[in-house]
Amino acid sequence: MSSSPILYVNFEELCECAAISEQQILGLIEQEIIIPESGQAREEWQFTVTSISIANKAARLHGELMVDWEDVPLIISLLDEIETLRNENVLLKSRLERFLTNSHT
Amino acid sequence: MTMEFKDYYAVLGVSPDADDKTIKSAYRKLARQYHPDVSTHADAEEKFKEVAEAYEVLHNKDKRAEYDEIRQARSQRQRYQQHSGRGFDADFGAHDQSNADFEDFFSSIFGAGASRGGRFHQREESFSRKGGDIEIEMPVFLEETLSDTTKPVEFTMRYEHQGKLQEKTRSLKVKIPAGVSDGERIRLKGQGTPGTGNGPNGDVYLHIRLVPHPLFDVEGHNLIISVPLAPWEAAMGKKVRVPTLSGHIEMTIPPNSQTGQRLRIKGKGLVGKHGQGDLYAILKVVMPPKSDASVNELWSQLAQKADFDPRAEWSK
Repeated sequence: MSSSPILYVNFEELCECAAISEQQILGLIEQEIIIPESGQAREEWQFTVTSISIANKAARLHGELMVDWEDVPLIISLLDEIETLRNENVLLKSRLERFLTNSHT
Repeated sequence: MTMEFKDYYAVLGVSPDADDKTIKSAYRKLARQYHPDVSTHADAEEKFKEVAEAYEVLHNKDKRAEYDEIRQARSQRQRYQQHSGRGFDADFGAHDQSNADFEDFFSSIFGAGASRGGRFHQREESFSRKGGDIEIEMPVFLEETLSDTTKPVEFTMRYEHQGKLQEKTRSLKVKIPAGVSDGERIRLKGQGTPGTGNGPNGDVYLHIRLVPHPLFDVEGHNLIISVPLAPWEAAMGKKVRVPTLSGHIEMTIPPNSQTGQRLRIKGKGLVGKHGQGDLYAILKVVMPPKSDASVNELWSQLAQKADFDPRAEWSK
């Protein structure tokens, strides 16, 4: 059985798939936590599928970690920064290792 | 059936007479520690499920009362068994703290339909609910990102159907489009667990993870490779065969090259949304492991002839 992959969703689909309200999603877009990949007007907006995960993460932070909704954008951007730094650290460690290891040993 | 008793108070680390505020505070502390969105603990997800389940029961007045009743009955039975010399675990197993047991215990008290998750919406006549979404980590090799690739995906879904827990394995073939990047997600609409009533099926989300490559590091859409050179190759220059993701290419190392120097090989990186990235070759001068007497003689001549102090900075 084969399945066609979806890489982008419009605003309506994003609202359908995410576990938060349309207003909350608009709030996250205003705070630039979710950024439309393309499109000027709302009807033209296209989002990556990762936007659904970000919206659902916001729902979990608010519902399960009891973070005040106003603080969710800050927490998400800090978590994002931590992840970026961790990934960068992994890359730098790998490059350092290649630099320190001799090819003939 | 043997069912392990779950001490929800112990899970949250509170006493059985703890008030709501204490229970909430204990939950928030543990959630901060184990919630998979913020935790790096290896078993964060399992731990959080236990904590969330305990909180779900203990912060709800009715569920807590019901749970306390079972808890009390159990402790009275244990006292009786101690007096009468019978074993402890006639009904409840001892210490196997697996998550499946937790769910079983929870369901046995509050019913299988009482589990969390899912979004509900009432339709005209019947009660409908969208099926659950499933997220799957999808390892992809760097070579596979250069063009569209079809990969098999197999996963097992567990869901409730007409009051019974079902288990179903699904096999799919998914086209992974060229140029996917690490962390990107792909949605497979309607491939998650079945909805109830008129509710649609859930979706599957593939979370792309690029598999670390033995030769290349990834930086955005560029690739980095370390190119070892013998000291004389760095000194005199050399044409070397450099591996790329799609075969080898010839690269010219200019004379007097240095360790750490970056040479760009255009268009040999990963496929990006705005064209293909580049491959960067980082040079690394390497000494031979050992030299015989004749080579050592040549080094010695070089030492005398070359006017070079690599530590000149120190004597300033």
